[in-house]
Amino acid sequence: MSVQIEQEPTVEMISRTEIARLIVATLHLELTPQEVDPATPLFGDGLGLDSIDLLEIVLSISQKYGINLRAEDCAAFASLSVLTAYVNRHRTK
Amino acid sequence: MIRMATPRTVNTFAAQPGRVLPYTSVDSSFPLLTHGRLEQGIASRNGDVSTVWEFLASARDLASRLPARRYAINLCRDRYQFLIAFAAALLAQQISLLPNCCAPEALSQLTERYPDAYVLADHNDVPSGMALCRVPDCVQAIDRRADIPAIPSQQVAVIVFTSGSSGVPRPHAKTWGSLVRGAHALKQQFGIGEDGSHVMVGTVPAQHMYGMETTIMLPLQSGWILHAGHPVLPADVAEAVRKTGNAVWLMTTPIHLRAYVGQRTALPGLVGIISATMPLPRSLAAKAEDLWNVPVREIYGCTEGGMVGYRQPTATHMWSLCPGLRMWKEGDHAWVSGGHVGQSFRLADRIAVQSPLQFTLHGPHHDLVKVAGKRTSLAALNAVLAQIEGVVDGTFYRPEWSLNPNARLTAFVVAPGISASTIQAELRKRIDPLFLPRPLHLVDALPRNPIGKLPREWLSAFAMEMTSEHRQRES
Repeated sequence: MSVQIEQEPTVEMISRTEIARLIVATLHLELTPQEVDPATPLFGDGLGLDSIDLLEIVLSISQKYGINLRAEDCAAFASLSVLTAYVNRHRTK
Repeated sequence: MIRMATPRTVNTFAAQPGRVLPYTSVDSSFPLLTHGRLEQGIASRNGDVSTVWEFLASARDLASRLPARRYAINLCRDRYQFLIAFAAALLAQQISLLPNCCAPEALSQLTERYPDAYVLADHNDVPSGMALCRVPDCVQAIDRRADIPAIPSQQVAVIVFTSGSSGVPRPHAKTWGSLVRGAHALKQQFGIGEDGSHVMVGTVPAQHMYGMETTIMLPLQSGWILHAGHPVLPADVAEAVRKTGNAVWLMTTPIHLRAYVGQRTALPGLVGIISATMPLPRSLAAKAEDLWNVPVREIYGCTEGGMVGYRQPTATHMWSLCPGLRMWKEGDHAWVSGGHVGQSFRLADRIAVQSPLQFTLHGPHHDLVKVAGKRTSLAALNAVLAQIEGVVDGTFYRPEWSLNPNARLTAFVVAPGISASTIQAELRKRIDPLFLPRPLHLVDALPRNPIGKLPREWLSAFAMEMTSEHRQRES
């Protein structure tokens, strides 16, 4: 009996560094992507981003990965790790 | 959705719909709202419309349960709940305080200054120790009184704040009469009629003066429905516009508009866009007009006076002064008075008066800092920095060479033994996050001259050096 293995299209996983690079470049932060701690909250007391930053990052993510984030999805910004996992799960491009 | 199936009739309670504008200063009171019928919609949340009588019942119910105090700090995030809280305070003859910053220390400072104040909010995210009155989600509307409340013109309705140069916010009291006259001026400028089918969607908070004028007062005084949310992200704005299903006015800012144009956000039913808080580039206005086929109008105003001028950027770079206002120069500064503005005050921007009714804008004066529509001064920020324990000396600095319109401030701080992140955390408690320095450089000393001033050339050279050092580190 032959087993058919369905070949899934290969989607390369996006790395945390890639998302960190997108954040740093979008917001002109004075940080290197490596300096963004994967577990630190991006907003509030952590990296200290604000509402204007949120809009900018949401636009960058939409353009690059085709995800249209809404306010109710903002738990995705809990940390760099969480955001990376979210983008990998929901990306359309 | 509520439809205006029958022609509007003039009921006994109707707020004099046939009255001719403009009102004059002799009016002793103005109606709370100008909707023609009690069954007409006033707020829309997720497509569900609340009627005028439901709104009035909610406001009267809340007014009867407010603490017996003089000032209510309205921190509601939902726009409809903000409106209910605002109306309840008006009915109870209390003054709504609209803080320009919600950082915990800023709110404590406000209650120190107004000891008789309490917080009116639709959430519990309020510093501990502050008296809180929760605005309920929903009120069973059993009160069917058919009269529209009239509010005395001279009653102080709200106090809004600008950041004073000492770091302590400066209050600006607005009477109900001046707010209503401001709304009438807006209607006149933009040819807005009383149309119960129009819906206002706003991306600015109601606590900001521009938000108060365009997302609260204009709908109240035009018989409109206001969208209860505060959408900002493109997908949320699209959803808000789609769900209202009516003729929509979008009250927004250049930063938000740039995002929606960039995303080519679908906004079906849009009939007009109003932008304020910072100059709207002509090219962006043109793209928006092409994309949605609606006129983009722009307001120039400020917390002290509300709307001062208006224009359609695709038609002219020149601003028209609002009717009833007078503008003149004293030295480098422009002053304005009259109309809804009332007493004269000095404008914070550099302005050239082109004719009695027209002017041009030439950016902010030296000390003024504007980030994303919020305004403060370097002096105010430096005063706050100096209050932080362990900070020996320090200064905020606005880079001159930045091409990014949303560029943030830099700070140089002398604070031996204290980390930059500790200082950032302390600043976060005191100032709006938009003004947090990015970056904050710790230095050994600041090269002050004998009278204590800092040479701007030094600051600029030093900031440049730090940035290039950072770039080298990055590569």
